[in-house]
Amino acid sequence: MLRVLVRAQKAVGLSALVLVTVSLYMVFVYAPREATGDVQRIFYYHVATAWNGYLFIAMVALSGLLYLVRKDEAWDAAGRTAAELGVLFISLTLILGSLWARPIWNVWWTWDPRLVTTLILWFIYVAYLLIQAGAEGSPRLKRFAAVFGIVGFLDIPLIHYSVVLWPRGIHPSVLRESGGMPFPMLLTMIVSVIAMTLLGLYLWGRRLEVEELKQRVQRLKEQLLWP
Amino acid sequence: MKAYLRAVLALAAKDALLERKSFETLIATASFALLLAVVFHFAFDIASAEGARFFPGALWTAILFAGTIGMARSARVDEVEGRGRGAALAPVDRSALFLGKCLFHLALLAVVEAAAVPVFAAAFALRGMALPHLVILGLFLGTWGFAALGTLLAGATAGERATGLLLPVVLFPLLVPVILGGAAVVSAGVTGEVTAATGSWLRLLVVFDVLFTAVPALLYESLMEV
Repeated sequence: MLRVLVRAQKAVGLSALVLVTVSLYMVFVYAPREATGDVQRIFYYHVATAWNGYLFIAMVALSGLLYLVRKDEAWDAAGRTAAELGVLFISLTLILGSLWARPIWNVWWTWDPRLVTTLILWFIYVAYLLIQAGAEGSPRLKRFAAVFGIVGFLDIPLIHYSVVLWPRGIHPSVLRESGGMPFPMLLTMIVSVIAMTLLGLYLWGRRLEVEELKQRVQRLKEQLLWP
Repeated sequence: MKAYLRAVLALAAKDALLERKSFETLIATASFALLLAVVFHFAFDIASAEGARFFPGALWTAILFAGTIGMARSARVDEVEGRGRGAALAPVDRSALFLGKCLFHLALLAVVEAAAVPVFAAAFALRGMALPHLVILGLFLGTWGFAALGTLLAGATAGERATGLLLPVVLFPLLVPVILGGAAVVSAGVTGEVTAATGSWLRLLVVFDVLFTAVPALLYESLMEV
């Protein structure tokens, strides 16, 4: 699966380029202007980055599980790089949400359940990267990172439920309430999500290739030093 | 099953016995928790009317801070003195090692809480608790989840350079349900205002405890293998 991602990166990259361009057109021209004004257009990328964040942290857990079962270094690299992208996309989600919240809610930040869950997710995967930062050459810490990625992922529903129980909610649930949205907006959202997912997968493929090259350099060095 | 439980109890008793030689971890953990009661009292300048509002959160903060230090220390001593490797030779399932250690940490924290609760009640000028059994239940369920995840992560970080720094950073984000739920249940027990949400909090804590006792028990083997 990982090899496929590295091999197909040209195709993935090209389709990402095309779709991101299309989604830019759709977000800024095709999608109708909503009642709250142009700032609503942030929503399309906000949803897309949030979806990518969840996708990559799911990949962290999956890679961790496969690493523990198969003990293949490639899965450790997959988990580490997926976590980097997860943190990147969660950061973007938080920043885009904050930019939208300032004119709409009149605050940069509020302690709404979804915001808090996302922030805690960010903390969990920054912690994961901290573990990985010291894990070079330590199989024990690599296994710990894998376990932590799995435990962290299982914790997400509980964190979300606990923060929902904590009574402060104002985040709109566009998809569940208010009968959805007009078709052009829905289509724009779907295209943006697919475009961003392709972009994310392309970045992951590039990042995995770098890891492969690093390992090759390492092997060559060892061959030169101890032939 | 019976033999398994006996092994878990024996492993916990082994840790308790070692602790009884000096009470080093217990004294450090408990005194830090009590010290925090004094620090919070002065830092928040608690008037008696507000005491009940801040008591649950302050108590949980102290338990988490002190407990993290206690578990990190206990795991560190195991690592340095090679006790972990010694216990690993025991002819039992690896999950028993985890559960034994977890039980020991739970007992350690229970002793710390028994000392901390009266001191915090005094520092926050609490005039009695409406439902003491609910306070105890909230503390027990929260501490169980804390001990389970803490044992897993403390054991895994013990051998590393940045042990003391890494443990709270990796542990606290995962503990959000325990912090919120534990504080909510203790708060309901102090004020006597039990609502439907209190039931939900209790269920959430039970789910958290069972999940994070079972999953680490399953993963412990692959984590600790040499």
